[in-house]
Amino acid sequence: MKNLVLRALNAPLFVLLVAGAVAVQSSLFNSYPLWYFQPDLILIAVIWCALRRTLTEGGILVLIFASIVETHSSSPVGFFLCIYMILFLGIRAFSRFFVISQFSALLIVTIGAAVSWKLLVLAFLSAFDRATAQAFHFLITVLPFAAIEGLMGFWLYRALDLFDRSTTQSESSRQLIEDELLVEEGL
Amino acid sequence: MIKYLKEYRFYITLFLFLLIPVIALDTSTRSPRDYRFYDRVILAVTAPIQTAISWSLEQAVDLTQGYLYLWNVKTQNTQLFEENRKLLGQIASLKEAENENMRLRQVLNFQEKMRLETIVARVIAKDVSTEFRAVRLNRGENAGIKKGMAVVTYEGVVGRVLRTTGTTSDVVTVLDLLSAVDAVSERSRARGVVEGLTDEICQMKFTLRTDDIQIGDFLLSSGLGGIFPRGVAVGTVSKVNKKQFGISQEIEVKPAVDFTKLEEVMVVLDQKVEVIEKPIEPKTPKAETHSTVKPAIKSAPKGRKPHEEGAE
Repeated sequence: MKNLVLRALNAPLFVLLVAGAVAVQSSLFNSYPLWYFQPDLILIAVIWCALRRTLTEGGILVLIFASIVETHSSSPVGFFLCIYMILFLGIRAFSRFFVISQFSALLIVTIGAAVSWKLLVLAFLSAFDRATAQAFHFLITVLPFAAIEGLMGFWLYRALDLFDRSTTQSESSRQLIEDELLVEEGL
Repeated sequence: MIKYLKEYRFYITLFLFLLIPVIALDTSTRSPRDYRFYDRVILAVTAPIQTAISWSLEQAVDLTQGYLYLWNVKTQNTQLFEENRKLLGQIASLKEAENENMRLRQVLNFQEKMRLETIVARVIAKDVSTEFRAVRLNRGENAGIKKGMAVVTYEGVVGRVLRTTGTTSDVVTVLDLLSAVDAVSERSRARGVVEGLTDEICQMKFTLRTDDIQIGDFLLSSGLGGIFPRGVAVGTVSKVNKKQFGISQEIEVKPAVDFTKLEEVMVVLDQKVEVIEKPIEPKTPKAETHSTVKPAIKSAPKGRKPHEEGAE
């Protein structure tokens, strides 16, 4: 029973964690020159959802995360919804063709996703006729951003894995719950 | 029907996940967004965290500057004395310029006075994405701040209020890609629209190729649109690329406000412009008799609704 409650709490707690991460990201990296080293913690959460959640659960979580981001940005509504959703679906599709079981593979996916994120931002900005203005910003920030994202992923994926284990959302915990239910049902 | 839905469940879910963001993006381009109920719930969670982190950082910086750099104070003191002396000289010359200005205004037979009703707010967070350049202030609707109000510092224009909650307000800075401020050159009165370009530089658009703009020209807000008060510093022209053909020229502008050190700002709650007309000084012998015409004071309409100057 306790495991079931913990599992039910996983998604709301994950949303709260991301809200806290957004608050930290926007205020801790507020001061100059720290803002040049600002990672995108939400992107890491999106990648985690793409690889460790089902399509429906992960998709809904990504929509919520993107909404949280948009309340903390001057971007047009739907801007980050589109970008994070495309990345979420893209990473899911990618994971069907390539096995991402190792931790190092996860970091490579993160770096790739960070570069794709920047490219997608540029593509969507072109819809607002602002891509030219942002092209220089893209060139100078894309590599540091990808590197910082990879570095943050190194710590955060372990933390998220620990979070999933403690809220019984990981594969092994899921198996344990299923076994427990089977025992309860006398099977 | 249910069987059909079950069979194509994956594709239907996929389609919905793609459709929702597209609809959101499409509707947002038609009408600007305001905070909804669930946005305010999110902000109620994140704003205290932002305030706490911002406060802790400020305390840490204060502590460092107050104690660790104490040995540097003497050198700074000497520099400040020197700077103070120079500034006093500048003030004296500016007083002279002010007097001259007053005399000229009297010659032109009118006086113009601008009074700004402002409220001071502190920056507690910046935009969560590096692509957009908004900042969050620690005061909102409860302090009288409303959407569309101008935000300035003693250095110049910061931006305009995008959205508000009871205790916070988001400000789109002049560096933001989607901001726009109508500006005019102090020297040549050439006009253009200043928009965000990079983290440190803005661009001035729609300035005619034939307009006289030079590097170092000081740009002021024109007051067009009603959001920003007229005559507030916007920035300095840092680069001019005048092509041989075309309608406009490419101009880069360094903002007057140093956004790397932006901590406190002033939100303009109300701007009043008073134009005081004075009677013409009689110069003919006949006019030596006392004039019975009283000075008339015209005020700009109070609380005029600002147009969406900042948004495109």
